[in-house]
Amino acid sequence: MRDVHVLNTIPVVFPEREILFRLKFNIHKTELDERQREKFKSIMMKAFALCKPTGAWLELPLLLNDGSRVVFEGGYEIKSHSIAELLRNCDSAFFMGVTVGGAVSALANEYINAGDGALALIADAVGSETAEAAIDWLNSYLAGYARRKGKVLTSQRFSAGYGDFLLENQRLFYEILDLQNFGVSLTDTFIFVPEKTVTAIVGAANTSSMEGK
Amino acid sequence: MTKNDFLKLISSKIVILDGATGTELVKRGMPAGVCPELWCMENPAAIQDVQRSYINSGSDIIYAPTFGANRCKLEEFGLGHRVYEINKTLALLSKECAKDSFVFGDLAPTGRFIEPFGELPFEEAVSVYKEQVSALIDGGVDGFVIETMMDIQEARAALIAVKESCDLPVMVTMTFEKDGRTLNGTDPVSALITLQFLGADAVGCNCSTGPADMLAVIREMNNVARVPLLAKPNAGMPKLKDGVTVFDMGAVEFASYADDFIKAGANILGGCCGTTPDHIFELAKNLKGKIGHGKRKMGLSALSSARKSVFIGGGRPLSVVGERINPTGKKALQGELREGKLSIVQEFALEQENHGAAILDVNMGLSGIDEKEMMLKSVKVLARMSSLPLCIDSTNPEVVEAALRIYPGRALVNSISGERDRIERMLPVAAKYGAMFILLPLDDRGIPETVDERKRIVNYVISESSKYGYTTEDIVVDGLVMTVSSDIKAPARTLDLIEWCSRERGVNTICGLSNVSFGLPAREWINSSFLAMAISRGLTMAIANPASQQLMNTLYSCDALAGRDKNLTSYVNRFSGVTSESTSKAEELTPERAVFDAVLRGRDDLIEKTIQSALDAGISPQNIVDNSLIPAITLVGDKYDRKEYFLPQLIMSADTMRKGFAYLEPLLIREGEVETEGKIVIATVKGDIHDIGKNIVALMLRNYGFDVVDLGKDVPAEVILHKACEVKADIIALSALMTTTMTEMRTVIDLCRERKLQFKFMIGGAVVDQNYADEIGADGYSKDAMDAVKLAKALMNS
Repeated sequence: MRDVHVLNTIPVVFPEREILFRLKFNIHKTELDERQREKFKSIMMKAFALCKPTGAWLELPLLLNDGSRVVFEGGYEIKSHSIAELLRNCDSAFFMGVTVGGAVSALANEYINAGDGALALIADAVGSETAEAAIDWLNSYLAGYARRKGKVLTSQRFSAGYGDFLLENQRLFYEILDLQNFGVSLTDTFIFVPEKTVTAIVGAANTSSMEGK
Repeated sequence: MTKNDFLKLISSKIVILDGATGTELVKRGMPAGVCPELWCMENPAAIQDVQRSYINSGSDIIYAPTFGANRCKLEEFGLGHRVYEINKTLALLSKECAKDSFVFGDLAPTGRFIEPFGELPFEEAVSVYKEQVSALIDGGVDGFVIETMMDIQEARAALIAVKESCDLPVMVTMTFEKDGRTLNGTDPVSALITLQFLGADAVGCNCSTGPADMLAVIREMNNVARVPLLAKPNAGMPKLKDGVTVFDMGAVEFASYADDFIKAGANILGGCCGTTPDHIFELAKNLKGKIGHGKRKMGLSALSSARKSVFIGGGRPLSVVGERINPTGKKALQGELREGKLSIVQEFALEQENHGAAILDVNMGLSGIDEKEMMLKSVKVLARMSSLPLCIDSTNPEVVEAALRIYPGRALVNSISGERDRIERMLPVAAKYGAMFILLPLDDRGIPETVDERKRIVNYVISESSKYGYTTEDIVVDGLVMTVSSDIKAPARTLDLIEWCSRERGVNTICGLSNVSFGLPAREWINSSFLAMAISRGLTMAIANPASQQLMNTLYSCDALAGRDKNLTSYVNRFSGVTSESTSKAEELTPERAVFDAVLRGRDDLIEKTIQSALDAGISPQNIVDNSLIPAITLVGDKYDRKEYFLPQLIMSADTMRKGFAYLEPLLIREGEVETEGKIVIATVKGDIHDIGKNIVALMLRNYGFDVVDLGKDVPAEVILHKACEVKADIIALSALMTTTMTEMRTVIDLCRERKLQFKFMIGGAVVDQNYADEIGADGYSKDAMDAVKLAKALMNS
């Protein structure tokens, strides 16, 4: 049986800097008057309040890696040279998935329908960056978790849809992490709904058998 | 071992703990991949040999090898049903070889996430630890250690389990990463405040770092510690050698940090990963005859959340308790709470934090809802999304207990009065969880008329609470502000009480400011003036709405004048760049300049008014377009290119421009002067449901004068082409965000060419670029909304 670890709440700290960066805010050059600053901040707060970062992770032992195909315990398989390379020295991989829910995207749509593009863009950026912050947090957590199990994680993590790690692999994440339990669905074109949902895989290599101390 | 025995031991010497167990067991033959606890049970000679080595090296306390012996961890090895047997046996084995040393039962992480951060219900976590604690007690342990905790909530669950099971001493150590926080983001001071007031007999850290980094953590904790401090560092930082993690700090070097740890405030020392009996021997040798920090004072005016601590009084700036999370008089919030929703609660929390609140008051008192359920929900949500400590505001002890039990920090209880019921029921609850509380100077006879009578109640409640270990530092007295409009002398009584508390009793004070002005016009003047007067008499906290600029400005100014704002840093930070009223009156703008300015600043609320003023001044519609609107939006585009504006500003200005243009349009049509830039059909292609980027592009194109037909998302090629033909479009704009859907762009273009239609195509989206545009035969690619406007203009002119 798969041992999926569920996180009902991921403690994301309001990623203000990342949101502004996404919106092309330049700390040295961009000029905001007090009114704009207040207005944008309040929309960011409102949108952030609607984000509910939750997620799940699962560690699967690696059974086979032939350089172009990797097979995990349970028969789960990924065909990708880049994933094979990522997991070259690994004994297992952590699959992770997070979502911030659909309320923030609904807010962005509300703004769009009201003709307020600036606010829609801000709400959308808040959702995206909160999801990114959530998966960053999960990645950091797993690094600590792995370390205590005498393992180290690969310095990179990969998400489906980049290079030869095709978007179709979203289905694998969806199934093994039971993402439907978080209110997430997957379209025929492998897009998650709510759209502020992020998945990733990271490799783990054994370095020692001790745990804790 | 009683708690007193434990404290006596600590006051007589630096207490030495053991070192690493796992690596020592491996040296004695424990294979990889086995359950260490079961292996110890089946190989008692090996674990007893390790423990004797540590005792012979000088350990005063050894840990029973029960690190992973909780139900959750044992279940990973299919041993969940043997929790009692394994723990009891390992405790008995440890006791057997302990001689004069003490054996502490070892409780460590379950590997699960505890609510509010994870899926494991808090009470279930408590029960998991209670099961282990019970077996260890039966095995005869002398005390407990809760170690290697990265989640403050899990540490709390284990601590509550021990406290509710026995009266043995319990030490708690968190594990902090190199950035000085646990993986869950808790800093050492907040962890210490939470744990020491929840009842830990010693607090500290273990694992993750070597002695040098851990010293910094102990130093940080020292000033706020009210219990002995404990450090159990690794033998340096881990290094990877030949694929194996090694800790290579030698025993002598490790022990050389001993004196520094004593100076930093530690009373208890040991070793974690990579340390051996040799490390402990050298440590004990260096610490022989030395004693650590003496008895510490008890109380502390500080609150904590899982990520932050807040210190109150003591010459610090006044702390504002944000009052808004309270349904009284707030219809929208009431409506949401009745539906079980909390989005307004979250919004209020973030808004108040943003405006400078230090603490959030949470009140769920509303008829027609389950107060306890909604309080619990709110506390869980707020603990997750706000870093501010909470003030639990309820008259119901059951509600307060439920909230304090689940809250991963040290909260403030609002409030405990001299009423018999409050003393008997609320005080023990607050004390059990180590909460600070607001003392309300009233009793069963009601609110006293005189200051002397209020003082008497304050003294009485302080005296009663001292029976539970409270000191004046853990209490905040409410000044009981009554409305000035019904009793002209009421504010004076409150101010006298505040002064007495502050100067004579040395206790912090708080006021609910808005009461004073009830029933009066222009209440903010009264509130802020009263705040200034109260600060001058010693007020340290205020329950207020931090969004009130006048109140907060008064507060910052008073803190500066009262000497509470060191180097006036907070004052200068708040007000630097703010111009005074006399200098902020801008030079009179010409009507044309006012329109220009409205677009430049994205003031869609002013644009119609400024245009009307320009029209009234006799400026023609065309001149307004040519001399104000167009130059302004051009400057906005330039500013965006120079990064002086970012995307939302660009869009706001464009929205303002569009609104202005719409206002002028009937007049321009009359003059026959209006024309569009071109007609564009825009869509997110079939299979793709992302449309925010496409929507923004559509908006911008409209704002720049294009006639845009937006077909939405997930639109088939056939529909796009049909609409383009129907409206006689000049350009078709396609959007796709995913690699699986970008291919649909080619389908649309191919179908168009196949039918020999003459539309121009522009494409955009995260996964496409100019190369892809060239590959599929599109006429252009734009990287963002502004770029799309430029591209569309270029295509219209090509």
